[in-house]
Amino acid sequence: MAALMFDFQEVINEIEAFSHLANDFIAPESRDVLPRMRIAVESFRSQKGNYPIDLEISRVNPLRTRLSRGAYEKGSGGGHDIYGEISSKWRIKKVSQKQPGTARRFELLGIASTQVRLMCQQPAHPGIREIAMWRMEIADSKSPGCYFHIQILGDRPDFPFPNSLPVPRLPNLMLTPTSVAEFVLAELFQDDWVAHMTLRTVHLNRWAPIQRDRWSKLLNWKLGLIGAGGSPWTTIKQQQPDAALFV
Amino acid sequence: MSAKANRGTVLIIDDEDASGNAIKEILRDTIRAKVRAPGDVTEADLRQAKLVLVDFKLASWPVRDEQDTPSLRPQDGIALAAVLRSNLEQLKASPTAFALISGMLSELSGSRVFTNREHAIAKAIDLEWVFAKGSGPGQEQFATSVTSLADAVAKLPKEWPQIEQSRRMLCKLLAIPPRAAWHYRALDDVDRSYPPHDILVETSQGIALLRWLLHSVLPFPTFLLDYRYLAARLSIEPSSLRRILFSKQGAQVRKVLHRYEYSGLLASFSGPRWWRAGIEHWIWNETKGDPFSKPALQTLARAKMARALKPSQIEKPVISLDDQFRPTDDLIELSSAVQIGPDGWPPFADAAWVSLDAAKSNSTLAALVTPPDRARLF
Repeated sequence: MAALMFDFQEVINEIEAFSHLANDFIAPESRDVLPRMRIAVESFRSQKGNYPIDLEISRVNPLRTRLSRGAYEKGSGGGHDIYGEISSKWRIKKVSQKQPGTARRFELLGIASTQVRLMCQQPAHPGIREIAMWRMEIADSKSPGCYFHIQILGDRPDFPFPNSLPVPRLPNLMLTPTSVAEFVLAELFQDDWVAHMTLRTVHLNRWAPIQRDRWSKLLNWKLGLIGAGGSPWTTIKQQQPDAALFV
Repeated sequence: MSAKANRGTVLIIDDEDASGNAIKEILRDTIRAKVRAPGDVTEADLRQAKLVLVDFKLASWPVRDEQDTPSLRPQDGIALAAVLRSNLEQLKASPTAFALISGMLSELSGSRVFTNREHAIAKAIDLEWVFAKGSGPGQEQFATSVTSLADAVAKLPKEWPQIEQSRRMLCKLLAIPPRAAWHYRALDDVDRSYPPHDILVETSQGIALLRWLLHSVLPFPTFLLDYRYLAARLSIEPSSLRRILFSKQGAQVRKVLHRYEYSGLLASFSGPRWWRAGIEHWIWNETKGDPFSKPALQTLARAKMARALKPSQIEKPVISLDDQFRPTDDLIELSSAVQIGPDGWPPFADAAWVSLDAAKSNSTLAALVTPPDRARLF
């Protein structure tokens, strides 16, 4: 099965639009993270050679959200002061290009993982603790599925969810780092994010159609699978999409 | 025909001969200039001029003062420029730019200083530019800027093409290197900066393009970067780059970055600029795909540009604006910066930053802090 492809320009537009959309919810020290990611995609695209790179938001310099003071519950009814840290690594390669800077697409080369860590500030205890972690991933061709999945913890040998246990692979709908970031912001700021996204800003008008198109393609693919008979979940779990699903 | 002749003529309109001639003298080596009193300007003068420099204060104009009709009494250079501009179409004149020249720009600058805010003043009074009149070290740059502006006007097509061809014209006038690997990226950056393509340029004979460059592109970190924003990108102190760039060693730095240096319209108007897309392309290549590694950036700058460049100690440096909203040579840490939204700062430019401390201690800056950062002031 060929590797899943994405459109360069669409991903560039997606990062740029989200960078503006999310600005109010991003910690000051992280405001350069998405612009840097966009620059990296553009720079890679404009190079002559075709070699794999890791498109990365590093764990050292993650996309950090603003502090959510209980806002992960409606009416800010939560008891924790938490923030999210999103890091990501996609190994990618240009599909082809006739001349430098004109490559239209890139493909994933096995690694496509976006990690979310929720960090808690506890007044009673010094320091900051990681209180939750999960990874939203796109599998490679050898993975047992499901292809778009979420794994909990799994980066350390400790229980629960040690790194020796790659299950469960929960089904996932958020694919790109920015769509994962939207998911996190919507979770951490239940009221504010929804209110923010009802404002019809120019950036939302660019972001939403890209997401709508991708969601439609993903859900239609899944719908097609379950219509083919058999157990829906077992079918979805076994299948990989066509490389051109999103392009 | 000499290069000087190609640039057309600068028409200087001044009510005081001595003052007008002094300006002409400054321009003597770079461009043809003609001085006229306000009442002596002819149709031929207007047809010949690529750039009209009008004095702001026009106190000595007896013929005007004798008029009974207020409509025939333009009180200052701004009004006179508007009158002359309105004649251009009837004269079938080629594109002509209008700029104010005055020793009293502070009168037009509200409560702020005018230095390095000329773009804001020019935009406010609906002219292409304003120049400060006077003697001193800025004279050389004045002559360069005037020549650059007149040159740019001379390069505009007599008729702006239809929108289908407008983009091609833009590429040509901005001199985006056609075969550079980063050509399309630069073009994309330009497109995202809302250049005038349609009615604005068509109806202004392309002058709208110059205004866009002068008012919204060159003064800000956009698809072109000046030395400050280049330094910040390379994680080096802007003051050290400035010192080197404008010294004998500067030629070496310019040579290294030659392929990325902007050479289109108005390239010499206000100091060198570099294509952001080109610089990013260069950084990616030179850092082997690690374009945000601070050690890699600083090593690159010092190895390829100049040893004497001073690395910044700041982890994530951004350029700080001063209390007049002008970029400075000071770098501040992103996490201790707040974003402000000064008048006229283009939405397509990099954000405008001041330090949190500066915003806390200056009520004007504080008032301009954007909503996401407002809570940090308290």
